[in-house]
Amino acid sequence: MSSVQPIVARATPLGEGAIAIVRLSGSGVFEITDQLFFPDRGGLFSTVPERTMSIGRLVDGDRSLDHPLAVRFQAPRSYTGEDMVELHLHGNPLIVDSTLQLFLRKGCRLAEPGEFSRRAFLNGKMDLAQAEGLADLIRAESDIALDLAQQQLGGELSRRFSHFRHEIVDFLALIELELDFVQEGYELLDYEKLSSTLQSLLSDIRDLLVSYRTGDLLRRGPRILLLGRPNAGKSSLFNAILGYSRSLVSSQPGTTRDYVEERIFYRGVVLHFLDSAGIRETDDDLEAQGVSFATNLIPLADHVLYLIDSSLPESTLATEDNHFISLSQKYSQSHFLKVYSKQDIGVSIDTAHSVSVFDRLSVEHLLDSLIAQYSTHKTDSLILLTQRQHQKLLAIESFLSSISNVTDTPTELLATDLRAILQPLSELTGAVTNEDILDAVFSGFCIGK
Amino acid sequence: MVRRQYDIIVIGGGHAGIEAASASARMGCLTALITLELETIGRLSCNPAIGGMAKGQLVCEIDAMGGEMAKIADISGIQFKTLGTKKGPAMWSPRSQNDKDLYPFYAQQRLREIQGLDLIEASVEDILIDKGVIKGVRLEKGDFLSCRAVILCAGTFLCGRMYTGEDQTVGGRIEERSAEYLSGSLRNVGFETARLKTGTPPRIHRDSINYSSCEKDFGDENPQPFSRSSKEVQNQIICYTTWTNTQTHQILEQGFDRSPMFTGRISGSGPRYCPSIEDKVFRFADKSGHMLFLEPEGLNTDSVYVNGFSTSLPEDIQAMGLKSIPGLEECKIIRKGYAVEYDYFPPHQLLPSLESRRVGGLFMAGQINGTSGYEEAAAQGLMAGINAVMSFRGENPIILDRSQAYIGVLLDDLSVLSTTEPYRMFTSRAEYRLLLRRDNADIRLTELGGNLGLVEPRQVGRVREKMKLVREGELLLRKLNAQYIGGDGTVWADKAWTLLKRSGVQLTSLVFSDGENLPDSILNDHEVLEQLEIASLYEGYIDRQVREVNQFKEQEEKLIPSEIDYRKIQSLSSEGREKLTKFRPRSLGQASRISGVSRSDLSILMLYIK
Repeated sequence: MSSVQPIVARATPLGEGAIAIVRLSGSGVFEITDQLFFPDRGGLFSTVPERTMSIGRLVDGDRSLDHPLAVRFQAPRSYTGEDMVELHLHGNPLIVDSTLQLFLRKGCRLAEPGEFSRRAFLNGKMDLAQAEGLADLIRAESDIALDLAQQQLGGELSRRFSHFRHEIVDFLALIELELDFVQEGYELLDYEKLSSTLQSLLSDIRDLLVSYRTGDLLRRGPRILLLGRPNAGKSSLFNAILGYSRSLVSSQPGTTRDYVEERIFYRGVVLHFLDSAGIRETDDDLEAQGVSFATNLIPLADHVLYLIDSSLPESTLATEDNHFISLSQKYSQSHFLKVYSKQDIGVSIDTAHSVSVFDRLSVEHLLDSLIAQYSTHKTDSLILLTQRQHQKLLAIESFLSSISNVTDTPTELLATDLRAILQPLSELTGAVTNEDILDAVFSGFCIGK
Repeated sequence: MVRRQYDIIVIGGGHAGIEAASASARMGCLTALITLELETIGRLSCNPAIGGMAKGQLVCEIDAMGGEMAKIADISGIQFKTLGTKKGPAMWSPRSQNDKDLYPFYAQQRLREIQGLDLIEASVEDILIDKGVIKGVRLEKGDFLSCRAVILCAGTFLCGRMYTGEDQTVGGRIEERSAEYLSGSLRNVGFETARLKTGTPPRIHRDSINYSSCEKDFGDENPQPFSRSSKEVQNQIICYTTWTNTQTHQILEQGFDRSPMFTGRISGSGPRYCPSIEDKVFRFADKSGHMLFLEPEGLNTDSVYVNGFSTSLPEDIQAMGLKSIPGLEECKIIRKGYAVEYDYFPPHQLLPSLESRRVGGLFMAGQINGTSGYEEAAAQGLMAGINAVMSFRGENPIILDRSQAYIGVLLDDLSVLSTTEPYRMFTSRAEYRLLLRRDNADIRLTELGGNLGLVEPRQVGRVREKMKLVREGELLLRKLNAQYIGGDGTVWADKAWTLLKRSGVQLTSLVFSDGENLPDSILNDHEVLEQLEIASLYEGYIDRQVREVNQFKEQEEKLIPSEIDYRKIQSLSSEGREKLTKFRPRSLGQASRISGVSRSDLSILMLYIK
């Protein structure tokens, strides 16, 4: 079989179910999975018998993502007729997303609409009638996608990118003019303007990416991690929030050794709370595992509430402050919030985030401040991007951030960079051909001898 | 000598015809080149120059494949300049001023030396086609010559009409005839034709120019030839530059009401990148001056080409306009400028091999395909010559792709996208231009030229040896530590390979540590050193382009069967269906380059072409 690019996609519908299936198909999917999935019974995934389920750990670097079931289908005995892998994950959208991202990073590409079926057809797994149905489906899906893009914010998204597309085409025209008509000595490129345009494109894209994360967050509900030294009152707060006793509560430090997740519905927003083990140097092996787990959880959380026991001596409070700062700097992706607990017995600290589990109002204040950014008013301005659009934006972001300094980049390389940006950009706005760029050159400048 | 039977007949002796005839005969086919006048073979109809941006790369590619143009340009060249040297190496483009008498002289001399090639002076009145297959050609006087393939390289001579002001004459080049019947004969068998126009500036007498009012334009201090097989070249002339002014523009405007362009007597589209002076004045009214280049047309001629002043305005206006320009106050016109309008065959009617889709064995190359420029014509001529031979032998055509050569970009653009204005090559047309450089044309193409029998084995061996040295050199440079001392005395120490990435650092300016050095075989080979410097400078970008090329090839390899009926594929968008039906792409990759064919059309198409 000739080499086919590996693709990945979620096979079960979006949303939260008990399990979610992620499918991979194409050349090298076994080798890729071998790097990420480790069967519990040992050995490589690629050597387990085909069409049997094996359980194991799905790992991203030193972080364990999930404990899924995996099945191997050897070509041609698979749906697509290519080598395929199915991963049966726990249905948490976060896990599914992280898994998709992980495989994308390992060289898979997100499948196009209908691509698994198309491959099935190409490999003789489907007859023409089925295929024609599929063609209509692809048409319909892309029409819907187009409508969606045009409807997003009343076409704001495509307008915004069309604008950037035009600007980049105009810059490219100036660059190509300079390159292709070098004898005529045109050097009209305004590097400062180019630099600021690229900056503003980058910041727009970052806004959109944030908006994507927020929109995505809203669908699945933000994850809030409770973090802090042992006995900082994490489990008490956790229980107060849940309104019933879910975690083991005791005054002995280090009782919560694993982590506990619960979901509440608060003023129309779903909030996932994670209660972690306390952060502390410890000899207790089991607890040490829990502690390292707690810091492992930080990248998964959208918010981290760092609890500080306000009844501790002032010097300890200062140390805690420093610890909070260093943690929040280390994990800058999550929002860190400092929360002073035990206000009933500790020094009164007058911030919005001082709580006592015996003071219901103080807990509600905390929750209100957490959901403030997800209030209905703000959701109107959220742009709900599809995962495909999200991928393109990430690609543009990565190209943009690789252009360090436009004035120091040789002109022909700058042109290569701008074309690289145009590629994903044009997939959001419509194609840009060589002819479009030449048109911009010829319509604007008097050239040629 | 005229025989009755040939393997391949080339019609036309311009730059396409020369390459086509040479390649065909040197690959072993009995070939005839038929042209209206033998002594016009290789004439430089327009500017006396070869190469320039992107075109220079084409010339080097033609050379690497074993074509003629680079060698003729080198021996007839009188000033040499590499353009784009302020940019990176992908932009370096050689250009020469050529002697307009020597160029055809050497072209004809080279052709006459080729075994199995007859040069015939005649007008071809008809191409005989039987059931979609070439049978031969009929000459003006009724003679019939049989052949298995025809390469049509008729340039601007098909129903050529020349215009100056209100005068109109029949012909494809001044004082030469036009081929009046050929395009009609092909239209009769179903070929589509359209009109294009191009123009040429007046030539003036060299002794009538006041050079002290102009600026000198010298050749390079260290002039470089186009061809790897040319030893050395010399600058023998100086060019000059001057500027038009608002007074010139006012004078020219007085002739607009008698201009064939503005009065609508010429309907064909002209090139936007090579506008006539009246077009420049009209479209860019706010520009107060346009630069002109005064280029001597040779060593033993009085004629100077006024580059930038292409015009079809009435002769009196041309003369008055020129006299308002610094340095040209007293100038004498030797030959007036004129526009020429001619038939061309929109090139989507061709396969990428330049063989007609309609008639087996009929190849077309050069300006009749809607291109402009000697270099574009020569590149097509070479490929048409090669592929006519392949077709004669019943073998698969040689198709260069967009990642291999500018020649590939050219033929792909023509056959896939067609053209409605005279097509000129630009570096910006090449997606992979960092890979398609003048310096590596031999590495890209010489092996192929050798396999075809167009490049001598010795030259192929030389390129192989060079590639081996480049590989060895790269390994060494990645390993060895070195120092570089900057202009301000700063010392940079790193791996040699890394130091080379700094702009302006040359390999020979590195000081290697621990007494190490590159072997002499590398140090003494400036072509190898150049490859190493460029590879290091462009690293990262080149990797990225190579990755893109791989993806590109995946699409190019997905072939669309030629019998596919797009009307039956209901799910295609209507625009997509219409464009696919018109352009009939051969692969999914080609389909993706046609505007109007959407991504979902491609997905749908993929279903039908397994």
